[in-house]
Amino acid sequence: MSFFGFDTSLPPMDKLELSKEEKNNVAQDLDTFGLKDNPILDDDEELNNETFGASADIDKIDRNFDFTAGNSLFEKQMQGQDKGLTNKTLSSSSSIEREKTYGIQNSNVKSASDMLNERIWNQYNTGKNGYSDEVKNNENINTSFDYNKYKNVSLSQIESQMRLENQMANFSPLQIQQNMQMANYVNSPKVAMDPNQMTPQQQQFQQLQQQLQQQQQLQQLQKHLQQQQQQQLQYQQLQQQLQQQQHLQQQLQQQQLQQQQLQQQQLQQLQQQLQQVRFVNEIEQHPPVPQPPKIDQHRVLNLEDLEASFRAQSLSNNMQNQVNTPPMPVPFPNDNMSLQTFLALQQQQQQQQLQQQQLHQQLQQQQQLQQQLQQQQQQAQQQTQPQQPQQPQQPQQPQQPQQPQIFQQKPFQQKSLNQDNQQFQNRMPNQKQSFNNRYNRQYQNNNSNSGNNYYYQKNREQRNSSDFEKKEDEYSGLMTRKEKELIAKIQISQLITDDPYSDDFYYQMFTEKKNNDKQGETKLNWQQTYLMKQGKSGNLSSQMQQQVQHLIDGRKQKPKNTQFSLEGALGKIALNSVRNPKQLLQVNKDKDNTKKVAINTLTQPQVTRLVHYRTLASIENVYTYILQLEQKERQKNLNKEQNSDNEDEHNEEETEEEKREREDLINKIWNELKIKDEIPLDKPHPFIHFLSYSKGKKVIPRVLHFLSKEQSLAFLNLLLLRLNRLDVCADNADPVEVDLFINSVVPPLVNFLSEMPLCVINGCFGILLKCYNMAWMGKCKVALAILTVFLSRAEILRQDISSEPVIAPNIQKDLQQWSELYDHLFNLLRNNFVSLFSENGSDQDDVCVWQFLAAIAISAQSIEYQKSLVMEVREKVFETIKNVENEQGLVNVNLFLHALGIDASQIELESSV
Amino acid sequence: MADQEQPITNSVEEPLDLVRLSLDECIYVKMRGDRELKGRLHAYDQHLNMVLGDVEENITVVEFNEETNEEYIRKIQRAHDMLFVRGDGVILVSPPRRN
Repeated sequence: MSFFGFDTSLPPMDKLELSKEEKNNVAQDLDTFGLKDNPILDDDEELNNETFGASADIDKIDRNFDFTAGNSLFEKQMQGQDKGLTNKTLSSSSSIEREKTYGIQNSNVKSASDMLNERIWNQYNTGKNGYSDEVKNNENINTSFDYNKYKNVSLSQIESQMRLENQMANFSPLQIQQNMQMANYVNSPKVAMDPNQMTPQQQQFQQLQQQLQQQQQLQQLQKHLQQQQQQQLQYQQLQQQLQQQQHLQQQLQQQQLQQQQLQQQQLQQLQQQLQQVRFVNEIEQHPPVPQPPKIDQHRVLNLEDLEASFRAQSLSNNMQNQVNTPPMPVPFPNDNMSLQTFLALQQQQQQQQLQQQQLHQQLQQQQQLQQQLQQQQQQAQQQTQPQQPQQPQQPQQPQQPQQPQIFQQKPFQQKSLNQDNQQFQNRMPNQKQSFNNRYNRQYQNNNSNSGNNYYYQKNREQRNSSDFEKKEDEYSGLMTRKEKELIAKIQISQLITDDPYSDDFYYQMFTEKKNNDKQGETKLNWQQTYLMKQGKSGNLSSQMQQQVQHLIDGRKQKPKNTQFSLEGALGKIALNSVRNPKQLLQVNKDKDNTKKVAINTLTQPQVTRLVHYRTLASIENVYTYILQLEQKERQKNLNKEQNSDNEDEHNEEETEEEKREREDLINKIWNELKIKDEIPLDKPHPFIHFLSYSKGKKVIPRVLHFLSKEQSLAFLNLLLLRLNRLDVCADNADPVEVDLFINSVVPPLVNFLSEMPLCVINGCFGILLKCYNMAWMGKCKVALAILTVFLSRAEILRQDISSEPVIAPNIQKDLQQWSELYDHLFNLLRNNFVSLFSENGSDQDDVCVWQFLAAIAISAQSIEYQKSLVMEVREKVFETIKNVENEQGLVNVNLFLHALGIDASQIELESSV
Repeated sequence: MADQEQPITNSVEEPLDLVRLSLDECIYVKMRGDRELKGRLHAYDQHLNMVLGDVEENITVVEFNEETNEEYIRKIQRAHDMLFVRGDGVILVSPPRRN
């Protein structure tokens, strides 16, 4: 059973041998450690009967008994059992055997524990962390070990402390951690508390701590035993190694002999070649040695450049130094030599270098081994002299210095003791890895075993790399960072515009529309989105554009001429750019000679071509002005948002000039519309002609946005006056145009009217009723629509007014007037409501009628009106409802019925009844 | 909008202004390759690249029959909702023929 990972298997004490005194000791121990009441119940009976600790009777313990034998970690490592300290590895029986084997001091053979103790002793003596041969030799190892000094300090304690200081590096991290925890725990202030002041809980706590310490000591003891076992094993292995190395040495000598012979042969060959080559060289010119590339100091070098230069340097260096190999002139890799021979030469060089390195390593290892052997022999001699009591309070003879050596050799041992070069070849990859860092490549190239072949090294990484990540692009590093940035700047600068709406108008509109469609909540028409300026853009590309724009603005401040004239050069030199392409023609704009003859008299209502084009021209002009106006508006809003933090005064100052420009434009529009032109009613009005074109209709809402109230009112008046002349009100009106008119011209009127008082509506209503007869108006959708607008607006106003407590007299007048007008209207329509519906009209056509009827119903001031209205329309209503499939019809009818306060579903019941 | 693109004029100055007057109007375009277009002009530029809507395209093909030694004219009609016309193929632009 393992407690906290400690190995609790210990050499057992023979139960029979426990005398009474000893039993008392045990009992005392249990008492001190508080284990009597709460014994650490262990399957191992030995543990429970174990005697250890400071209170143990020293005299009774056999000092020669190697207490730690068989259980120390050190020994276990020697045996290769340092992993997983469990009971399996050390059964009680085997430990007993080991006791017998190792417990008794053998004068000639050093036990593992002895070595451990020596190490520890040396460690504490010298206080040095590492161990080196020189230190070992210089130390006075024969100082007698003062047992009394370390009497009360157990081996385990010292070992644990050393472990804590990481001086015994071979313990597992878990153990080290546990030891540190224990140390921290031990050193914690709790332990130092006054027992009298402690509560019973704390006392228990402290007892538990002591238990933990106990266990820790136990574990350490076991480890010591193990270590000593391992030490002895190692010693045996060392002896074997000695023999092997002697063999090795013999082989090495043989190899050296062979190599020397080889070298001599090669020498002769190369000398012959050299002579040939030199002869050839004398005839021809010497080929140039590849120079390192001239490093342009102005250029920023990156690593690739550096590497290339280094490589070339190394190349030239390698061709000049032939240091590694023994005097063997390597011919220059020039063109005169065939590639094959050159490669063969290189391979030979590589092999020689390899062998040399191997030789070196072998020699070094042999030396190390020899030194270790010497040390061991010395230690063995030392140990015979002093006696080393084996107790839990064992003297700690530092044997640390030896341990690293032994453990160093351990990996060497565990590999196959193959006396070939395999061992050394195994070392080669280690070397390679250490030089794999690209920054060391220069050194790598210089010291490379693979020779001086540039081609070999050029693709070496590609060929050798198995990892995809290590692969390098052949073309990487051709451009410096600055160059890349320059290209990027150029590309982005071409995207920058002062005014995206002018350079890329359609795309801007498209995106705005798309965004609005996506949002969908506020269905702005495209004109409104056009006005809404987009604030700070969050895309990366637009940010980059802004950055580059800053750069460009800075450059723009420098005066730049589109034409650059040199002195002495004929003509002007045009500096072409993306926005300023080469001018091929030179066109002078002459003054306008054409004068238009104003045609005021138009007998025929037929539109002449001139009038047609003139109207179109005025429409286009209006468009131009509108676009400019809207651009200014967007600019203003942009500035507003940007300057939202600034003071308002600053804003106002700036916009004075803009205001002027704005008003100027609006005036131009107004003039272009010719609304103010007073033309007798029988003659066609240009504005009406303006509205006959679809694009004229489309621009009206945008224009109305900018017009003042007076202007809008004038517009409305003109519209009403000339309603019958509108193209949409004609009998053969194009339904598309009609719909367009209703959708584009009427809504802004609604907006305008919402700000107008009741008197205005009265006036407009009066005009309508005066000018046109109801019959015609009933057929004209547009008229109906306008009427509907008036009716609904008036009703809203009326309700607002009547809700107020105090009504001014003039407003009272207005109300009265309105009711009169309404009555008039109703009377006109009485008995004719059904005739409003066109005979062949579709449901779409009827929408207007139903809306109109609904408006009338809402505005009805007395129930009588409503009743009569319903009476008349009743049939129609039923008709529409009966046709169940007709959804649009139902909707239409509901329009009307909701105004009355009822729904179509209710009426169904009635009809059934 | 920049002033450079659409000069503030009260009268037609450039020939292209006439095309401007035809914006949003039905026009007739004669093109190379014996093609004719009739459609609503939505956009144009100085190269006379145009965007036309609701286009009706007429292609006149002259086929020569070697055996019978006669050539006969065939007309192909195509319709497009929206069409972009490259300017260098345009021969003329005019209001639709009043047939």
